[in-house]
Amino acid sequence: MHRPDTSPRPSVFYNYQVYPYRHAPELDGAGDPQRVVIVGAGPIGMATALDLARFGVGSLIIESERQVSHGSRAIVFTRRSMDILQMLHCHQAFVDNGLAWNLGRSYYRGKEVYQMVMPADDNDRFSPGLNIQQQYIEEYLVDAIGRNPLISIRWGSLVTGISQDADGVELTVDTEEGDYRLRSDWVVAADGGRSTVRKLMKLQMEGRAYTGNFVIADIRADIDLPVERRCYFDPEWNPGNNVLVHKQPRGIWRLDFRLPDGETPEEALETGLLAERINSVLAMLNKPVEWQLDWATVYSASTKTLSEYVHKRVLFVGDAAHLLPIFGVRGANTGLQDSNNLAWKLAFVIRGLSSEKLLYTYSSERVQAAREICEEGGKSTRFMTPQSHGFRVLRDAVLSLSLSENFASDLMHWRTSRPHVYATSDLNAVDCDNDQFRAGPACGEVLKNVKLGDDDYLLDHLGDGFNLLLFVDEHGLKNLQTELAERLQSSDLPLTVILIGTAVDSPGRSGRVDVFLDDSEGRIANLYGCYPGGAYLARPDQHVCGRWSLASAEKICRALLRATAAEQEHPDRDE
Amino acid sequence: MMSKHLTVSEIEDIYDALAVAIDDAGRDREPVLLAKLALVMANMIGDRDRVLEAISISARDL
Repeated sequence: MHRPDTSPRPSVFYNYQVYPYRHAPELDGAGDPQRVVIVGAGPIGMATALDLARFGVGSLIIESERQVSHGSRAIVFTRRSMDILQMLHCHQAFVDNGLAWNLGRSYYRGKEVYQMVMPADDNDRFSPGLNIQQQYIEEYLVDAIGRNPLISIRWGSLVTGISQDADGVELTVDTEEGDYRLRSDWVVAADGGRSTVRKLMKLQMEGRAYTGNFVIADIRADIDLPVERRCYFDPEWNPGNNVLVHKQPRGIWRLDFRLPDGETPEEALETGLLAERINSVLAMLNKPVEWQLDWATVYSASTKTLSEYVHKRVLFVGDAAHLLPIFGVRGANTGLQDSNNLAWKLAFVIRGLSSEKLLYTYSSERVQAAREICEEGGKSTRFMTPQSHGFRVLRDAVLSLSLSENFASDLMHWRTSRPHVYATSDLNAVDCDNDQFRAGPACGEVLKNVKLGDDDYLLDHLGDGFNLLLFVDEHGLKNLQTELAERLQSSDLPLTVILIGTAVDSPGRSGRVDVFLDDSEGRIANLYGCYPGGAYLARPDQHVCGRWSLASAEKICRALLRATAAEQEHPDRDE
Repeated sequence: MMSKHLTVSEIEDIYDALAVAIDDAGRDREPVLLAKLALVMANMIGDRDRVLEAISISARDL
């Protein structure tokens, strides 16, 4: 009998809501098999559900707890994550309540030795960084799911067993009323770093764990400092270690600091010692104010990933698939890119628009992303928590140098999460003429946003499926548009055709056109390096999978077949 | 074997200056001093491969 805690988690600022447990029909031997079951109502599980729903695919989320996560945890969203949340139509609550920032300052011996500036661009809708506690992240996603009839959540339901055959997966789910079997065509494992599904399937991750524990503490305090990320190396009160300070909404501050070697998590969380250290951090900030503790925990860094994310009909996303260091805000921001990559592919397979081969590109693209992050994040981690005398000496040498020289200062910066580039993806068109473009995203990169007017951006106009950006003159590309319309007439493939150009006369609007964007000033054309007759094709996750300086309906249709792994099913391009 | 780029008198000056700097740094900070020296010289040389070669030459016969 699984009975999660039903008393609201203690907090000095957040009102934890306990969601209702509901009797499942499977307990009475009833209930239909599910299409998709998602294990875990964390940010990535819920984002996967909302993303699947964009393509009309419903899902059931199984969550062991009955309330949202304890503590600020994920805390920083990158611009890419906000772009993804916009695709899921739930970004506004984050914008309204989060704290936007783009500057990180690093200090050593009382001197500011490094500034990390995340470039802000007028063409972007969202700021480079946005701080918001995970409680709110999950709350807003639960709210969005509540508005979506395709998704439901079973709270207080713990997965205790999993088996699969060629047709589907059978989960054993334990509840306060006992357990039941739940069948599903597909299971998405989004159950976090300590993934039960991963353990039940006995899957091992590649990579390494780093020694060195860090405390995260959320405190409520009235501290008059701007919204910036602050990092203090080797402060007097914590020699050889470092401290990170982040401002969060609702007067909450997030303090991260590395513990002296050999100290256990239990020792570090002992009330008296923790309070003493929090006072030391505040003294270091020169803000010795009153404070209240909301939540504290201890973590250590890892750079680990499964080597495959697709295990027949069980698909891994987020921390269930990989454990990445927090330096560079790699956790939730990587997970959202996973779910955004997986959702359209799974939906296309379920809807019969693609072969199951498409799912394997989810695994290859995202495992490669995780490996690159492990490589890059590992470097940051070795600076933040040196693993040996040699690494400590070099870290200290760089810090010492930073007081008078800046040639080595970039080593103090951990590279921030950014959209992965699927440059070598099998889904990219073979005839992309990247060389012909003087600007704009290459194949594998994400579409670049462009400000079109007040509260009006290019990405706002994209459809949920594939998007074709066609650059045209005032006559349109009549032949191409007509031929495209003919070729796609009997296709169910979701595609939005966006004409970009000067005011198009009415014959120019014939054929397949869904959106027209007036680009008389050439803003989009310049940023995309594209002349009339050129085109960009983007996948449903906004990654470019084809661009041509001179497009044709044939090139576009062939790229669509390739990007949906449907080439073999439709070998005849003139059908 | 590396070819020679310094006169005896020049290398003697460097020898003395480095010994004094190590003594001034003290036992605790000596490794950091030497690491800084290596990084500064690496930046002056501006050639990754030559610096990696210098590290491997220095690591011989310790």
